[in-house]
Amino acid sequence: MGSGNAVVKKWLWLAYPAMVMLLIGFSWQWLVAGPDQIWQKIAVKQQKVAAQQLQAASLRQKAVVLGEQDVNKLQGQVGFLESVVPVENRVSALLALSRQAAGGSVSINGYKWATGGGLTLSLGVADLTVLRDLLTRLQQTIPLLAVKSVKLAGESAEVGLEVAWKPARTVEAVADKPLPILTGVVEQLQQKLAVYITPVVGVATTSGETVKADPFSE
Amino acid sequence: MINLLPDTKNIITNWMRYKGVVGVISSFVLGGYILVAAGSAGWWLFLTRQDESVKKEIASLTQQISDLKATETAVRAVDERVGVVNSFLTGRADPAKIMAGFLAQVIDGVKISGWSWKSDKNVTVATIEAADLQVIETFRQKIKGSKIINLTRSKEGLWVAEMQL
Repeated sequence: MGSGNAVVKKWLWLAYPAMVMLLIGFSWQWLVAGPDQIWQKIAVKQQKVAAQQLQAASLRQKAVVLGEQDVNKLQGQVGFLESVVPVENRVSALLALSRQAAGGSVSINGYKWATGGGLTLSLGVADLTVLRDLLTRLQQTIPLLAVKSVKLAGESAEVGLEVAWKPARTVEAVADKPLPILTGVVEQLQQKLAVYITPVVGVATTSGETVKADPFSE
Repeated sequence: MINLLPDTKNIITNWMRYKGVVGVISSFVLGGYILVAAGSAGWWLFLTRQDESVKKEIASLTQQISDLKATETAVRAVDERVGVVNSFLTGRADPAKIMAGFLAQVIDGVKISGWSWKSDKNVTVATIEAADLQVIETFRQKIKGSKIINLTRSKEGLWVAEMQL
């Protein structure tokens, strides 16, 4: 018995490395190779945090941009854009605009409404240059017009016109969707369209009267 | 007599030689392992706290953005209508430009008496008149890609050509 104790005592120093090996072996089994897989969890969490930080940065930027916007100005811009391409087919504008574009150089002999909502103008034009200038003016109107057909024979011409329109699409705020970049976009359009002619209908005068400049406009 | 019992004393003595080295290596391994484990636990804790803080920030920013819902809707409405206007401006054909290009080619002795264009077919046909057939041919050669699709002679003796531009 006494000799057995002495042997155990002499081998006791091996308990320390054995415990270290056991500790590493068991915890390795549980934390690394086992179902918990701590390293994998750390890697996944790191990716998740990085993605969330990106999302937060994008939201932060969006909140700053939104905070700088003026709703009244934006609504004014929508109003302007809807005057350029209306949300409904404003065929009545075709008459007023074509009369303004014709001016004194082209005589309008007649109008014919097309079934699709367009208008065909019968015109008296002296030559192709006059017709070309008229077409140029017709393409520079607000609301925008599209010339669909041109037919010139001798000194009479027929020009088919349509007014641009597109119904408004419902837009909704989506918190995590990035904002479109609009810096200077509307201003550029306004600058480009500044020289375009607009139908003169019911112009309010300074005296408070209303002058109907185009009897055909309504 | 043969002694079959293990020489315990000798074995123990032999192993005792490694006691120091094994102890040092074990300590290094344990120390390193504890360091790695503590580092991992610390990193995990750090990530967890960061995760919570970013989640809170996202929730707060989302709330801020939701409060500006009307502004965002207006921004998206402007963007939508800008797209509509630009698409119409770039998509429409310009007959005035086609005509300007055609007129730039005019030569003496040619009278342009007709012109037609349709946006859906995108075909332009011009009617020209000239006393000399050669003038018509010269005119056709000036306009690249054009071709004469009809040629007649009028009562007045003029050549009348329909040209597809």
